[in-house]
Amino acid sequence: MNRPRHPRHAPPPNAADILKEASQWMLRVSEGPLDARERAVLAEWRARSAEHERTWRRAEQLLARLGALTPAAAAALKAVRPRRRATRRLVWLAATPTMLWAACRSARHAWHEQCEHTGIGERRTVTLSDGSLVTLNTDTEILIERDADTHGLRLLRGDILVDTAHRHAAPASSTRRLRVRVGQSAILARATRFELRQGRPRHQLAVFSGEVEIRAGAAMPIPARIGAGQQALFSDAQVGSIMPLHRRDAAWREGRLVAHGMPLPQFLGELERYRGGTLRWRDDVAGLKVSGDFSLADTDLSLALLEKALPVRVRYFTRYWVLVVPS
Amino acid sequence: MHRAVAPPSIDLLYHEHQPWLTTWLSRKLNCRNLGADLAQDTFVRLLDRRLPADLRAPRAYLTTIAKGLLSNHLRRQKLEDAYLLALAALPEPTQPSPEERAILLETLHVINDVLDGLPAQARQVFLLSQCDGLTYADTAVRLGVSLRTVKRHMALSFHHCLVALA
Repeated sequence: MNRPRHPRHAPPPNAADILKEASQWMLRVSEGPLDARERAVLAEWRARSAEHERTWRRAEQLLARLGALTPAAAAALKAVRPRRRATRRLVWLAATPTMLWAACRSARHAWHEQCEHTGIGERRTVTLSDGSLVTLNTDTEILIERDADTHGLRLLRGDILVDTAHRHAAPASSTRRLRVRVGQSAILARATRFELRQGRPRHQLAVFSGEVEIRAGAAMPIPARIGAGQQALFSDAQVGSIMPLHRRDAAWREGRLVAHGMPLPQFLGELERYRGGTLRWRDDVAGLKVSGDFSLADTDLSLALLEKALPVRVRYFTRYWVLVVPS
Repeated sequence: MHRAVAPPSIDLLYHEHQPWLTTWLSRKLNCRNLGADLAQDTFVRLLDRRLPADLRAPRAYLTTIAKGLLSNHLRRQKLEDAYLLALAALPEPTQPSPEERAILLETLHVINDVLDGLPAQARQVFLLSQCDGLTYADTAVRLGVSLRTVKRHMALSFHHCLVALA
């Protein structure tokens, strides 16, 4: 983590230098929470002059505004930006799909990485070269790192179920741990079965058997251990409290969503991941709780069941735009 | 009010050219009110700069300034339209308030301008990390560059934003 450098005997502040240093600090803050020492250095930096303080206020305001960019705003920005490169790639794709496929393969081979992903509603299991099984849930993307010395993968989006437990049979490989990276953090696993879900700002980990070690970003020097029947939320800065886990497997593996008093917004958010389009609710039903066993393969059926279980009505404006309202 | 302190020739320019400039801009924008606004802005711009001592082609001079304002206006309009379009896809309960919209739009305009001044790769880094929400590490993986490069680009982007907001 690069901290802005400050000369010990600082010359009188110069507006250009202040801007440059402030942008380094913004970079640092945008990466994750500062530790106590960094906070002290930043406070000292701000106190150097009125201009330092003014610039930092501007920086903080900017970071807050960037953080508040909604998906609609982000989409608008991307829509108006010229995308020359993407267009060119698209033309190429139409012209010579085989060539593109070959080029992608060779490029990935050179990086020792292989990308696997699933579409919305899809579920797929891949086997790593060390024998570990990785099941990708809906709309998930991983990179498998094919280095000769390490076995690892990176979760870019969605959630996965990792099973390294059966590797007991192969003593040669069982000494090596599987490394799963997400964001700036890493999970080290040996003979375990766990579920990892990428999230913002926090990722979610549930361990079904064995034990895993989380190294949360660079800010947390001591790894946290999470054992069978436990779950935790963690960010790149810290691991939250470790809680008991009341399920023995990821229900989505069997295409089911099991809810025990789950808040309706959370339930609909889950369901939305398995269907195209948007699923929204009116505020006056947000307080309802959902319990039951629902199908992920047929989300329309699950919504129909929801109408029976709760005092709600499901309004379809189109197949892709559904609103849940009080009945 | 402003005209009183400006060089007298602007007064003259205004009286002679304001009507046709308004008409010209109104046609371009398909709106009389907007045309009048932008024509007004064109003359306000003149107050900030020194007029050429020998202004032989005042219409060409005014048109150049007006074209700059026009293209800036259309650019902002395009971004606002894209935002409203994206909002239209959301159902009513999740619509932002008018205040939230105004703040978001203003941020979007600043970012859009800043992006223009950045190298192509820095732009991509910015869009992936700030709009798509990728971490810097994931952005680096996606673009096939080092984490260091991603951070260098982001520091540059932040620098440009800070300058733009100054």
